This record gives sequence, structure tokens and C-alpha cells, in this order.
Amino acid sequence: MIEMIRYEIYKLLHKPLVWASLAGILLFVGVMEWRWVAPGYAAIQADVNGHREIILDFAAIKQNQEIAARYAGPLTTETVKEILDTYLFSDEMLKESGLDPERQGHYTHNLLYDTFSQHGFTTMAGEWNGSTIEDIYGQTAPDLILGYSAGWEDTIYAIIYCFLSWGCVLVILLSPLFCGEYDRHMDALILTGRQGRRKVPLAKITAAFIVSVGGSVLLIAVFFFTLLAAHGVVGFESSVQLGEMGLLFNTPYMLSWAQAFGFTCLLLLGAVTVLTALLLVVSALSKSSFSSLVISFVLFVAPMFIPWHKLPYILNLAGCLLPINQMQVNLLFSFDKIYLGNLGLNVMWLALPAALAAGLAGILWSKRAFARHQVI
Amino acid sequence: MELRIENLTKQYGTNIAVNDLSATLTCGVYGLLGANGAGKTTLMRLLCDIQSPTAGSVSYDGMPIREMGDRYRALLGYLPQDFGYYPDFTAFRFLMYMASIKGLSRGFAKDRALALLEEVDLIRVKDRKIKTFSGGMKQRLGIAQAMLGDPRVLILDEPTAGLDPKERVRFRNLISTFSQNKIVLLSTHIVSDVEYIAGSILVMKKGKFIHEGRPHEIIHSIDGKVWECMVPSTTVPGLMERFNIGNLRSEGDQTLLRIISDEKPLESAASVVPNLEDLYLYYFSEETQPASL
Repeated sequence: MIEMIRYEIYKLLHKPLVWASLAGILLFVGVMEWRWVAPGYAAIQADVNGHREIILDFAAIKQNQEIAARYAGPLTTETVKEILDTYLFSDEMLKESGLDPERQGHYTHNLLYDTFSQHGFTTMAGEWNGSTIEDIYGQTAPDLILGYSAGWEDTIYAIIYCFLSWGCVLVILLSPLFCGEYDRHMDALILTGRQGRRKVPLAKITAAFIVSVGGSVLLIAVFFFTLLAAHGVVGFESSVQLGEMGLLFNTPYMLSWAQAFGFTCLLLLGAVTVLTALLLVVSALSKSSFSSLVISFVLFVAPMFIPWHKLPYILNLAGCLLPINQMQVNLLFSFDKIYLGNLGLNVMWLALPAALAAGLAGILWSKRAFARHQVI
Repeated sequence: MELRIENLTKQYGTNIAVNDLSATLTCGVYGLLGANGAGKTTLMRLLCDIQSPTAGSVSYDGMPIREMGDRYRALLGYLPQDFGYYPDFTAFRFLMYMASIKGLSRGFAKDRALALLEEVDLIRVKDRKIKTFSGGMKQRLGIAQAMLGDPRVLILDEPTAGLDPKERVRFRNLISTFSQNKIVLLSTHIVSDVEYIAGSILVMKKGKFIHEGRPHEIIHSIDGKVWECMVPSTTVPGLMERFNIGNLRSEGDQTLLRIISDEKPLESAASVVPNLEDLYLYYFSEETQPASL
């Protein structure tokens, strides 16, 4: 069986289009790593002896972390006000830099200032506008923890984009898994072999999951270790609502970045499992590699264009559990918990049974379809 | 050991490819003759259980092959008409892959693959990628993979297509040696291949067997229907329109014609002993694509 799996992996990967796709995703991962994680795009404009000074990349990350450490802990309106007051540039300094204090006072300063500025705590002049944390964050406000969040948020953002691309690569890679044999007329030889209807499809399915799930784990690991190297684990306990980009701003309950990263991994691996199962079935049922590629691509991408949020709750939730929507993790993060009595359950956990059910159905259905395939 | 075909039918829409066939195959080499579209390939696919019959059944030693499943496939070797392969595999790697599909142990598979590559004269190119092979080399590799598991039932769909005369002789000898205590069924358009190695011949037309028996027995069925005559070469075009002409050979301004006809075609024609080619032409003269003889 191991030998068969090795043959199937060899067959899967040994194609020019696959090599081109893998080269493409590697390049994309490299760019995303460089642009978002290490060093990322960190920039600080600091007041140094009355002059605006710009600090970039790792030095900016270090300084952002130092500033965040000063205010780390439960978020209060006073903390917000203090941060905005402390890092507001003087009118003279903004004018010296060619900026209009009345319109551009909120211009990039540092991570925390920018976060609260973008979340709606400032006027155009960059001063506190009087909003309280309850006004901005609603019922989650009392639970929020402030800290350094850029490393986690940027990493999750980069991973999401890489997985959307990885999903497309998987479509190219796995859509011909079974029907490629029909195209090459190998189906007749395989299906007349003693192991052709049991072990061969199982080997193909195993190879597909090794490549898809294995590749996904590798992708996550690369980003995670880069995050550790560039930012460390600092800020892991801070709240996802306080991210500068607002990636998970709509999460309706307190969640730390470490928890969010864990749920992101769960959602991405679940999405890849469901996608792999879908590709297996389409490949086994399709007449040719081309039709399988087209159908798979449409089934993967089309749910992105459906306004699920306008549908009833259950359909919306089901739609968000489809691979491409699940890969955009923020959709599921925006759902409130499901309460079973007093026990609140994050909907992200639904990805687990969904992946198991879809994976099992995909395995059984594709194996059966291939074994019963009529050679023509 | 017997392979029994009972009332086997395969229908695609309104087209009946195999029509209520019944036969029993025991040890030996069977040649399946028929024009394109006669149903040979469909019959072979049904015997390999890679197509489901519309009606009827195939059983091996009394057990339906569908029920035998993997046990039947362990006894089966098959070369399809469209032989599939992986272009980037070497010949040896391909055979080892096929061996894993057939459930052969690695040690046995290695020895058997090398022996078969030797038999089909591909041993020197065993490490070359299949995409660099000629059509004949690919066909020989296909024959080797079919024989890899030392099958009890060997089904070969047009195995000599693309082989040159020397390779065909080598193939015939290989099958003759291999076929001891086995059932070998091969279809071909090359009548002489069947004539040399087949102990029995099944003639198929429009999904039915119209003749089955030993070569000399079924050839007897057209005794008195094959004629030869010498005619002026200028009359040949007219005669070709009127009669079913087998061979013709020019000798100066005269031409020797071999005519297949129920009645004596010309006064000068003399009845001759028929052969399998004549039989083929007798039954399939109306087919649009002539056979390779």
C-alpha cells in the first residue's frame, strides 16, 4: 500500500502544470511572508525633539511592542484617551511636514494610536472624539484586553490569502486524480488489476489527503515559525477586536489572538479537507480532466459570490462552512456562539464535524464511483 | 477451467453491441475475428468486468465473475485496444507499477518484469521513458503488462496492431508458449496471426457469433466459394465492381484474380481451397473498412 501511495504522489506531482502551480504558490507565499510577516510593513512616525522621524520594519516592530507593553491589560476608555493624547503630533510638527492638522492629524503614528484612530475614537484632527469603548465595541468592551496584535493579525491575514491561492492549486493538482486515468486509458488496466478497485482508489485518496493536508500544515507551520522569529508570541492574550486592520473586528465575544490563530488553523485545515473531498468526488464522476477542472473550479469559487448573509441563519452558516468561505475565516468569526444551555460553543468548532463528514463522504463516494466506472 | 458466456447482451441506447451471446471457452487460444463495430471490444470489456452487461452473465468455473470480484481479477490479464500508459514512467517502472496494482510481491514482480522485458525485446530500453517509445515498443510493453501476473485468463484486444512482421512472429511464439493450461482470447484484424496460433476461432458480426470452431472447420464452411482465374488486366476494374475480389496479381497484361463468390463467377474460374482470409472477406466484404491481411 505504501508503495502504491508513493506511485500516486509521484503521478500527482510529476506534471508541468503542477510544478508551475507549486512554483507560483511558493512565490506568492514568499511575497506574503515578506510583505506581511517578516519584516512586514511596520512603520512608526515618532516625535523626536519636535521633529517627525520615521522608523521602519524590525525597529518599528520593536518600538510598537514597547508602546503596547506600556498599555497592555484590560482596555478602558481612559487608556484609549491617554494613548491618543500621548501620541498626537503638534500642529507645528504636522505643518512642518506639509500636513494639514485639521484634516490629517490622525496620520500614521504607531500601532495603538492608529488602531484607535481607525476604530473611530478620533476626529479628523487626530484628537479623541469623546467615544467610549462601549460606544465602539459594544457588549464585548468590558472583556477586551489590549496588547501587541500586529504580528498575529498580519500573519492570519497573509495565511488566509495564501490558502485561497493554495485552494486553486489544489483544484489543479487533484481534479485529474481519477479522471486523468480515464483520459490516459489507464482505467481499463487499473480496474482489471486485483487491487484496482480497492487499494488503488484508497492509495489515490490517501495521496490526495497527504498532499492537501500535508501541504496545508506545512504552509501554516512556515507562517507560524516566521511569526515567532519576527514578532515572538507577544500579544497572544490580547483581543482580536483590537487589531489595527480590523480583520476580526466583528467577533461578537472576547477572543485572544492565540485562540484566533488556533481557530484559523482549524478552519483552514477543515476547509482543505472539505475541498479535497469535493475534488475527489468530482474527479471520480467526471468524464475528463478538463471537465473535472472546470467543474471543480466553479464549485470552489462560486460560493464566494453568493450573498449568504442575506439568507436565513442556517443557510448562512452552512454557506460559510463551504471551503472558500471557510478559508476567509472572518465570516465564521462574526457568528455569535451557539448556546447549549449555559455552554457557549464557537461556531468554528462546526468545521470539525463538517470536515469529518465531508471527508468520509468524499472517500466513500469517490472510491465507489471509480470502482464502478464503466470503461469506454 | 472454463469461462462461460451465457446470453450476454450489451446495449447502448438503441445500438446492440453484443447480442445474446453464449459460448464456453476452455484452455487454449481463441481468435476473435470481426470487422470494426462487430462488438469484439465490447465483448472483451464484458469478459474483463469493466463494463456491465445489459443482460446475461459471464462465469469462471461456475462462479459469476462479478461475484468473484478481486479473485477473478487476480486470474486476469488484459491488453485493451487503446493501451494506456504514463509517458514519464520508464518501461521498468511502469511494469512495477502494474505489478503493484495486480498485487504481486515486489521481489516476484521485479524478476517477472525483467523476464518479460527480455521476452518482448525491451530489456535494453527498460530505463527509457515510455514517451520516447515507438508505437510497436509501446504495444510490446502492453503485452508484457498483460502477462505480468501469469494470468489464467488472458484477453488481448488487437495485440499485434503496430507490430512489424518480426515482432508479430515473436508475439505469436510468446503466446503459444504462454497459453499452456490457460484461456487466451485475442482479437485482431490480422488474420494470419489468428491462423497461426489460435486453436479455435470465433467469428463475430453485428454482436453475434456467426461461426465458431477450429480454423480448418470454419474454413470448410466456404468450400466451393473461392475461385481463381486469369483475366486480361483491362477487365479488372469492371470485375472488381461486380465481384468480391480477394487477391489480385498482375502478370504482364494478364491478372490473376482470387474471387469470393457463391456462384462460379467466370467460365474460366476454377475452384480453389479457401483460407481464413477468404473467410473474412466472405463475411465482411460489405464492411466499409477493409481488413489488414
